[in-house]
Amino acid sequence: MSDHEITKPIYVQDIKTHMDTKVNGLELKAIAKSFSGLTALNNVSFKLSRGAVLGLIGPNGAGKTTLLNTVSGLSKPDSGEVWLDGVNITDWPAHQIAAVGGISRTFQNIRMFQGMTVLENVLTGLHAKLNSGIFSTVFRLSKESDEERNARKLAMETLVSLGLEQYCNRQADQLSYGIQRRVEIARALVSSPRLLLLDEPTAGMTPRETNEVMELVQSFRGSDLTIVVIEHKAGFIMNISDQVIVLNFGTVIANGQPEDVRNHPRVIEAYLGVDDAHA
Amino acid sequence: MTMLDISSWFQIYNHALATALINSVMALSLYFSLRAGIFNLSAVGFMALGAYTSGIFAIRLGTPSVVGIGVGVIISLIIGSILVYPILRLRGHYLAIATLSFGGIVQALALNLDGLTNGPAGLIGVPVTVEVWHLSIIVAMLVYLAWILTSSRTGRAWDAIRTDLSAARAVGINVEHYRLVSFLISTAIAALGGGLWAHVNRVIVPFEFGFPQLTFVLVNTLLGGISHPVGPVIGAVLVSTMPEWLDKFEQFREMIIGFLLVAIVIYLPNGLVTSFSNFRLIWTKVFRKIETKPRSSGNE
Amino acid sequence: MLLQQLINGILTGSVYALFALGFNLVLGALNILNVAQGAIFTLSAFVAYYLISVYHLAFPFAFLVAVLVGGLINVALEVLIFRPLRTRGGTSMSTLVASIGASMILISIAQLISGAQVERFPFGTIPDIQWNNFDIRISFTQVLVLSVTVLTMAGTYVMLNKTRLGKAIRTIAFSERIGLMLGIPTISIARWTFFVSGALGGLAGVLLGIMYNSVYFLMGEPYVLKGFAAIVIGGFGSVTGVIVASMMIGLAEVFSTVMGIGKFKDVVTFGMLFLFLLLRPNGLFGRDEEVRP
Repeated sequence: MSDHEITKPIYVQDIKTHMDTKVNGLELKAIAKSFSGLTALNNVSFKLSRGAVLGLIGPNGAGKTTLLNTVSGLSKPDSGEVWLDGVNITDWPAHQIAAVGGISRTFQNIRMFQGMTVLENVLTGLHAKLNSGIFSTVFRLSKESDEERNARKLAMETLVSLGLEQYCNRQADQLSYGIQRRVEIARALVSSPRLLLLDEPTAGMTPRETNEVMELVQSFRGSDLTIVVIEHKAGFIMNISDQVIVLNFGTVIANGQPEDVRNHPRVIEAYLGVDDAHA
Repeated sequence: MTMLDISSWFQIYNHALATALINSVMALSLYFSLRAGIFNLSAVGFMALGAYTSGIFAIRLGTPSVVGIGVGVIISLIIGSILVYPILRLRGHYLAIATLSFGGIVQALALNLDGLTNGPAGLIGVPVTVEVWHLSIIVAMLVYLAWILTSSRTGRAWDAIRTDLSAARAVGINVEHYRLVSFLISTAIAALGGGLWAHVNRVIVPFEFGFPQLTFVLVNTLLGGISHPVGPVIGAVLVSTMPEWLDKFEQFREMIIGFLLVAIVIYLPNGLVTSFSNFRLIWTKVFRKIETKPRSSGNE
Repeated sequence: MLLQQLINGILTGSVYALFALGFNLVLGALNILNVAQGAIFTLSAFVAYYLISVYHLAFPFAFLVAVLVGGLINVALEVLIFRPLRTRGGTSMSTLVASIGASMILISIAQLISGAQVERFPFGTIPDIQWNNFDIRISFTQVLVLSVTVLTMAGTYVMLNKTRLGKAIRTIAFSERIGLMLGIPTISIARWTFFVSGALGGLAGVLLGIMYNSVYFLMGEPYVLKGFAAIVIGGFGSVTGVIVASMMIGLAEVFSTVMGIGKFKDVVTFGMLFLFLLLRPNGLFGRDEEVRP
């Protein structure tokens, strides 16, 4: 039960980047990935323009999370390429993709840093934007404490915009599921990412909470933030997406506008028998 | 009671205190690794390196203590830097085995390189130049260092790495870099502890740098817990003063430490220090509730 | 002379193999690095010693009892330490620390009972027969040790691959979840695994005790580290690998002595361990397991 409306978080253009701003968006070229002989992704290619919202749907085990892992660098594809804003990030280590590429994500099974408070969790999201290392910390250079102060301010603002400020000093892993999901989203947003990957962000949420997340995603319409959302709720996807991709057995079986995809015969076939009542 | 009695009592007490402080240094060495989630059991190996270097420099080359200790730390850092890349690519058990066997190699070398280390007999006659007050300052500085590092961005990175490696990468933390740093800090502190020990104990023997000593370091650190840098110090002091409060149960010391290890790991995984802060939290919660009750309700 | 050394190497290697087998079993099946294996090794040797010297039990019976006791102590560790730790969410780090604690407890028991003395088996425990052929001297003890180790290794192999228990253990080693789904009683299988592992360790301890005719409370220590080496070099989870690696270690030690660097034989063993960890952490026969984080 949230007492506060979710407003659009502060979105600050980041400074350090060597991305080409002419060619923009996310592009996957013939991505393939197998695990011990089992094909998880098979020749997946698509383009997503900057600022658009992509809904990624498909039956369980279709490879959606694997796709997200490939984009965010946690999993390296066997073949194919990932391009972000005109830069080939396929071989970049995961932390570089997050830090320099500006890709943030949430996880299907919420991954809060245990033992840390909500505020600290969100602060880790800012890690890549901060600069203080061992040297400046140990010698108490003033730029470090300034930086920390600003970071905390930004983290709190993000928490406020997601209606979470009353939880800031609570142990993150002891909060309810729905709250933790929002904290995870805050952690992903605090660094003003270029690309946001949401893996089933509304799983386990009440309809009201789901609506709030939907409004949050919609609030980014017209901004530079590109979003990829994995979800099972068809209505949710149809409402927020500019583009929908359907994955089945690791292959793209449909890619287009929400209405077109919805009526696509192969899509209906893939979902045969699955009654999505949340439309 | 003669002056001789008092001074000899003080001498014994002095050495025990110094030992407890050295143990604190070693426990702090382990702290940095455990904080970053690295199960680094090489502390005793680097302690041996630091101790022998320091001892050899003092006895054979006659240099001031600081030089020997410093060189010991530098040599350990060099060796540590070489080892760190292959070692940190290992996971869990393999990491423990690798670091443990490093300690084994150092001890075996100390035992057998007679020309350098004087073999099993060890080095005797290292000048006793390190006093309790030196050690107190050093321990205090190390605790301070640990405290400001762990409450900064670096500490957050370590905590993230310790709790969830993949999520840490996903928020942009360069895991390899931070693990390397924590490993090297542990190495340096362990070597420092060894160098200081040489100048406290006068004698260095290979048998002091084996598996049993490693388990002592483990207990010290884990008893206090790694939630706060003062934990390992408290743990080290408690365990080091055990002979005092164990008295006639002295012979059961090893067994008690074994039980402590098991009990801590099962029932008190966060060590003593957190439990107290939790206790304080609960205490203040209880009291606040009692205080606010008589006031008008609906006052949030 | 060389042949004699070869035989010595094979003998010590095969005892290492027994010890390492037990070690590797619990590690492979339950992902627990049980450092207390060394203490069990020691305690079983003590049990055999006391049964023979104080209670005048015949060797075969003392032997059997000692091995059983080894297995039972290990099961006790599972019940009292590892299972509670497991239910409270222990990591591989904390189980290792717990096993170190258990090892300390057990070793100090051995120390307190024996008073830190080196005990020797009474004369006549094992018939003192020797054969001298082809410049080699082989004692009855050595033949006994070799035949017992070979039999045990064969028996362990059969158990793991042909019996239901063995199959259950291998299933759990592969995935505990799958084991649960298949209806395998994981907890009792875990205990059986500990029992076999402890029995193997205890067996190695008794054999070593009679081979060198000495029993003292620290005798197990070096074996733990050699066990590590055997596991890493042989390959995590591989029975063949561990046996081969143990033989290698035994032979390497003997050859170090032959080559005059006998003092450094431990360094040689550790060196091999390190090399493998650096270059080929999966060992010679290891499963293609992810060893890196």
